[in-house]
Amino acid sequence: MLFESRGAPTRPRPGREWSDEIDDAVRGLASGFLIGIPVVFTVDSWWLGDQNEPLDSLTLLAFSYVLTLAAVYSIGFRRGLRRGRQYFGDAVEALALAVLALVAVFWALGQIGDGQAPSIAVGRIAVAIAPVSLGVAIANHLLARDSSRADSDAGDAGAMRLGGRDGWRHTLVDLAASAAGALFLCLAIVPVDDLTAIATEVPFRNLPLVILLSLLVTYSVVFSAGFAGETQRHRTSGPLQTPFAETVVAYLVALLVCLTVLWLFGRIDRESAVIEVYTKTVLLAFPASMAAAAGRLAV
Amino acid sequence: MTERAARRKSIAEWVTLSLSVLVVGALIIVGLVEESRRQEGDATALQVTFDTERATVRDKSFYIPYTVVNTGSEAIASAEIWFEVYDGERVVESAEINVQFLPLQGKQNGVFVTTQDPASHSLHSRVESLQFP
Repeated sequence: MLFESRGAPTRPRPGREWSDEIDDAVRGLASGFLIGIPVVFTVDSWWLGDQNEPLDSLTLLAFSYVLTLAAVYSIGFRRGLRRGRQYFGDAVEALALAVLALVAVFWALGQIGDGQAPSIAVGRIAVAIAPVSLGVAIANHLLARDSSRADSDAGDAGAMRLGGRDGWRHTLVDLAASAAGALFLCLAIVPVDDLTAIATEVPFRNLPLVILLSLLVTYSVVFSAGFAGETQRHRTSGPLQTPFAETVVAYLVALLVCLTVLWLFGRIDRESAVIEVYTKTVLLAFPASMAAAAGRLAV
Repeated sequence: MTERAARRKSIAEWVTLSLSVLVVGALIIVGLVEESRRQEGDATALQVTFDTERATVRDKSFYIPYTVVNTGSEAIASAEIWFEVYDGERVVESAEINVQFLPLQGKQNGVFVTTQDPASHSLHSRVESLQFP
């Protein structure tokens, strides 16, 4: 039986090229980051991983593979026709992408490869891998490929109001969507105050890396991952509508939202040292900027 | 396009799959190696070292860096450790420290503050109790 993923092109291609592989991998990674980062960003999951014995970690890994296989079978992250044994290979690839994503995140946060034992790396990855690999495995469903609410064909009121999506109006809608996405995530993380523990654990010297990774991932999500309306985003004119400018400005919006929410919940105040404000804001902006990117994809 | 053509993997697909197997395989191998090391090690073992050469003096107090490493085969939820400063055979100062969450081979760095000069006194540590997850 031939199975075609939702959002996949209807015209089958004779073979998969490197560009297809890279495109699918970037889309899978972006989707994995979007779904998995809020879970990764809880210090309890790190401590849980620290206490895991290696055999428990491997059991978790096997369990994650089974879950990922089910998600790959029903949704998937690859375009084109998939069948039979290919699902098993796709699930391994989704798991490998999740491992790479987690290594990048934990390395940027100074939580692996910075003097920690290998068993700690395995434990932390094993605890966090299921949500990330599931995120990779449902990339085709997260947002349909190359379509957008802004397409007038979509027929909803927002799309009609946006019309041609030109100029300032388009820019303002994008910025508002970024702020809404960042706010949504901040309201989930800031009240539980994991951020103080995370800020204690992450070395200060790693914060520039965190900023770079935030920008790289959000750029990939919006402009390189083949998600909704990417083609149209590249074509759109208007202030701040170049990929680089939009990524940086959306990140700044996420920073501003983080700062505001931290202030509102009393996590920072006038007495806080500048270094504490900087650390907490940059760390919170890591998942918040990804939510901001998701917000922009939704409009 | 025939079903057979659709089934055939391109070189790009093979390379991607091979790299993925390599990444996941590496994670599994590291896990297995760590598990065998864990089974060979002592059940409980904590190693405490003082770095007196890097000690600093401030306001008549000596700040001595120390490291606690879990060298045993089980993760430790918390450990109570006594630090004792000896002047010859006599304990002249002692303090209790509490270490939380020491994973396998996990390391906790800290600074022990004492009024006694580490150059003329000796430092000892004694594990008082351990709790496991």
